[in-house]
Amino acid sequence: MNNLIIEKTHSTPGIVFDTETGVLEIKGESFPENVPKFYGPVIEWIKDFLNSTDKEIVFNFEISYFNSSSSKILMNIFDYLEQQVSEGKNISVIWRCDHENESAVECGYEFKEDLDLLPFVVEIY
Amino acid sequence: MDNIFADEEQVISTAEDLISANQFASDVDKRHYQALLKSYKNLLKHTKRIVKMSDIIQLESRNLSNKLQIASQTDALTGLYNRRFFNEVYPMEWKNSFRASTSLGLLMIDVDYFKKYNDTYGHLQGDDCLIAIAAQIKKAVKRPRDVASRFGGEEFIVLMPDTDYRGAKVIARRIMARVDSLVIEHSASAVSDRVTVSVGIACIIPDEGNSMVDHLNMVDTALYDAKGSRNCFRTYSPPESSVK
Repeated sequence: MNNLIIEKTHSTPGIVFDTETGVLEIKGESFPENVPKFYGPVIEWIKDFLNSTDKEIVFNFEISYFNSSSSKILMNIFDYLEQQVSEGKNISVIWRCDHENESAVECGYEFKEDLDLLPFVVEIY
Repeated sequence: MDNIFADEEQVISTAEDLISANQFASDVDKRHYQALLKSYKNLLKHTKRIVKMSDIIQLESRNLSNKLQIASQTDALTGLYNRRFFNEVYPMEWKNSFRASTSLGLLMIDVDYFKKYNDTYGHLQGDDCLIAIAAQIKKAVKRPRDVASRFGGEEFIVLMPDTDYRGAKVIARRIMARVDSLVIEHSASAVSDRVTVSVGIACIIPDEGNSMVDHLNMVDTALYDAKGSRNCFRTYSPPESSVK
């Protein structure tokens, strides 16, 4: 399966999903004009990849600013990962944020609160 | 995916299908409705979470916008209002005074021999001097509607609605006295051993026959007159040729 690499733009995050290492990174700001159009293929890729492997997967999210539609998509992704963990997959999420970005820190804890099975770490630097 | 609320709509659609199927065998129904309820509870949790996160981000944007507004109105060095803010407020007060036929006062304040002060004591001390003078101007201008701004360099301007020459002179004297009481040494000054200011005063009742530009020119002329002697204030007096 091919790696997924999407260049960062001013309104969409950069994406580097490496099938070799199992490290999937989403980094930047997220306020696309058309959220489903941007994230649709990303979610499809994640689903295909998780169906094809049992290796340990680490998601690194470092999203400094995101709009409401993006937050909905992120919750959909986390729910999906939670379901995968319940089915035995080894997946964890690291939500990285700058200590000065209080909104990103608070939102990280908001996401974490809804998750029971998926390991979700808010890492503040 | 063309809709971020596709899951919610799917739940609704399933519920509609179940209802229109009109098959209410009790145990089956129970499982269907329990599953629907579970899905919908989860989706509702999403919605609530989105609203909460939006609130967090909106509050931060709001605070940031307030800070930016204050920063955009403030002179970074002295903390007085800046010229941009003066330029916003002056036309409004001009219109108010026009409507009410009241006198609008302007004071233009210039630090005497400030270039020499900088040359003698250095620019950092020059900055400290401006900060100290600005603080005294702020203290001297007490009414809520009066606006003291840094006009540029070592020049300050005070806008005073409802103020005639008598009132404006009181404020000019007060500013001069306060600056004098700072006792900032100025060995390069030709008029004093300490830092002093010159003040121009122009008061006008706005009407059809005058303008803000006239008013600003008047206060500029008055300051120019004051700078002829320095360490004094002068009120505007029209040039000889225009005196009727």
